[in-house]
Amino acid sequence: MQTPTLSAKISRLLHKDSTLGPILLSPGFLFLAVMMAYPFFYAIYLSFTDKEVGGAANFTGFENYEKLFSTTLFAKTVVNSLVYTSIALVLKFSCGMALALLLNRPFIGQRFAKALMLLPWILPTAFSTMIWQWIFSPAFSVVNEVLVNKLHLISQPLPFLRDETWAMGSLIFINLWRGLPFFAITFLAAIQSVSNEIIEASRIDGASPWQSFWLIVFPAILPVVTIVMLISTIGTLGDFDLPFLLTRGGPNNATTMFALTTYNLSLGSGLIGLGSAVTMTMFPFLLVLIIASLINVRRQQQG
Amino acid sequence: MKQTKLTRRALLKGAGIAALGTGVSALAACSAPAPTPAPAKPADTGAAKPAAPVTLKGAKVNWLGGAWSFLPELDPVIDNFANDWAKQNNVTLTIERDQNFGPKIQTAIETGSGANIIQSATPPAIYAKSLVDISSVAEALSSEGGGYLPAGPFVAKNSGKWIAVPLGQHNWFMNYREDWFKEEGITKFPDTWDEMLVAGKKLKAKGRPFGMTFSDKAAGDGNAAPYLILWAFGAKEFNPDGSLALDSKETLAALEYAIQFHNDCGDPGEVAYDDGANNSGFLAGKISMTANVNTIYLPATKNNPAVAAGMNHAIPPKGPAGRFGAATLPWWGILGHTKGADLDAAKDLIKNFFSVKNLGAFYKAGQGYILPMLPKFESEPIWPADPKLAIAKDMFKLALPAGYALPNNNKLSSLMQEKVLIGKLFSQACSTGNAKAALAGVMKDINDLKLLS
Repeated sequence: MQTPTLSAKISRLLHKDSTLGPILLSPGFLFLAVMMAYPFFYAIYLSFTDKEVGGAANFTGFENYEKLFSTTLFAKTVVNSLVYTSIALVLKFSCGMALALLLNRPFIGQRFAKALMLLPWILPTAFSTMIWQWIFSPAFSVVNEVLVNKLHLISQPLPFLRDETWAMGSLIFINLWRGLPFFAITFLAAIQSVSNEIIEASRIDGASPWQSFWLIVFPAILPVVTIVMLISTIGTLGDFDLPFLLTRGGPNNATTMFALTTYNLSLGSGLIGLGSAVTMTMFPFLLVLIIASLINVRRQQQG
Repeated sequence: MKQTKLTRRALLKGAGIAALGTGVSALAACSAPAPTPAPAKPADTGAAKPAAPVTLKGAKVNWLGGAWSFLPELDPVIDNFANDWAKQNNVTLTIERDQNFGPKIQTAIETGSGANIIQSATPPAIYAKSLVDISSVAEALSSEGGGYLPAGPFVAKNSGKWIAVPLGQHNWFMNYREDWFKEEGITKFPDTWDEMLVAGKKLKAKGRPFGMTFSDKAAGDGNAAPYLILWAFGAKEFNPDGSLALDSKETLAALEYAIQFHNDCGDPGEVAYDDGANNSGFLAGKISMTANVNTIYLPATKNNPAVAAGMNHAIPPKGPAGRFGAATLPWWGILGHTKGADLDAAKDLIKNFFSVKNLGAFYKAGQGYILPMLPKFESEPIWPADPKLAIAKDMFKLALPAGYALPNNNKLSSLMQEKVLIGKLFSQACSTGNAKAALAGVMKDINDLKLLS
């Protein structure tokens, strides 16, 4: 009997799913382990140390967390992050759904409207924020110029970035403008995947358009809605570029959020351990959301 | 071009730091330009040639800092000198500029690789654990130049050691539209802050408000303009013994004045200006006065001659406690991982470039944008020839740094400056009209910083 050659052995192994699967997955797994898992666990470790830039990382237990929880900066960071995320999400969901339903109806220029709608989403945030900075600028707001000097509708310029409430409102508005296309296009794709026959049958049975949407379409697209909301929550809660570029967290820390506070502490002040602790405080919020969403999706699939 | 040695361990460690805060470092990395290649033939900058080669052959020096975005003419002065010096000493030199270089400095510190010499205006006390003691260089330069002005050691010394060498000082001149002031019958720039109120009211009534950067969105102007009023009213952040002095009746008096100044004379947007807003506002004819370096006037001479002809500069007015200037000090320092011949080379480059005979070319190119810290420069031919910038020579001994009246910058004062808290104090007071609440809010911020640092 002839002994199989090495190449034949390798070939046989590669034809087994139990071997080929792990081999094919290993590069991706290694990449994730090195580039994501390692930094994540290293950040957890740093959050329990007094690490400062250039200094040693000495274990200090929960000291960083105790310090953080006793500051007004952290309290504002949490409140701002939750306000920003929740309002932006509600607006993106409701406006995105309305837009998706509108785009689901045939009209002249529908394709052009879809393409145009994607513009805010495909523009680099740094670029679009520069445009918004010009629109909301304390010195040269084009909106104020038109309202005050051209149309004479108001006598004093609107305080877009210099009033605490207005600054948060401006950030939420830009987040809505930027995130709306993702919601609308995803919802539209999900709506279009719902069978027309079922919707038509419901209408024949006497359901109103609202009842058709609420009792048939919405339950059918709920898994997609859940995933979109989850992805957007993670992105919005960790939003950095918008507050960094537009308000730097001001005025009076009214727009500072988790990622910006982390950046300011870690990279601005060199307090790396504390910055890591801020990041870690965001994690429980996200974990709860992820678990709740996954349970919801599983229920939908089982139901 | 130098190849940076980056070990796998160092890369992973750097990745860990960079991962903090949902990819914030990635943003900085994405915006980083490639290292600036050395020019083939340096232009003549007017500087003396670097010293003769010593024993630096084979050493490597990586220089990292921000570009002089408000006055790009300064970058080639550094590049040309450094490249000449590197060529003469057989040193491999890279020069990298990045406006958001903070994350890169931290990566270099944490990985022990990359930049050796850093240029920054962030208080060096923040990097105190990572900067080499360069007292020998600083003291030699100080001795040659007649002794650094007090702001020099205030900023650059830490625990009795020089951890940085001041490159110079930015001073905030009063930039004003002389022609518009004259239209209101004001032929001489106001000598006191009270006279400023009178002038400002007249100008604002004509739609020509003042635009002082009372804002925490401007790391440069926001850390300077408010101090001109704060100190003039006798207020200060610290006592010389290190105790906090901000919560005082003098601070409240300064804030009450600022509120009136803002309401009667100021552009409503000044409480949220960034560093470029007052420049743009002045050049566009929207504001009639601001505190700034010469970066309104210099571009105006090229692109906006009408504004250049109509404007002038003056020293800051005086208040009940006297007349004060405000300065921020850019500096160079050497990161701690720089060893052996590389360290010798880095020190040699600083010692040569900062010497009186060579640094003058840098100051001259700035035309008052950055002023010397050594008295000997007073008699050097570095001062602006333009009469509208002549006050540079009056200003350079007048200015104090943020953190006054500490004898030496400390961690808390550095963090207060990094967070632009005095800018925030004035911004809050002027935007709410409530001086006491604004002061109480900033005292809470300071308390936060004390807890965290």
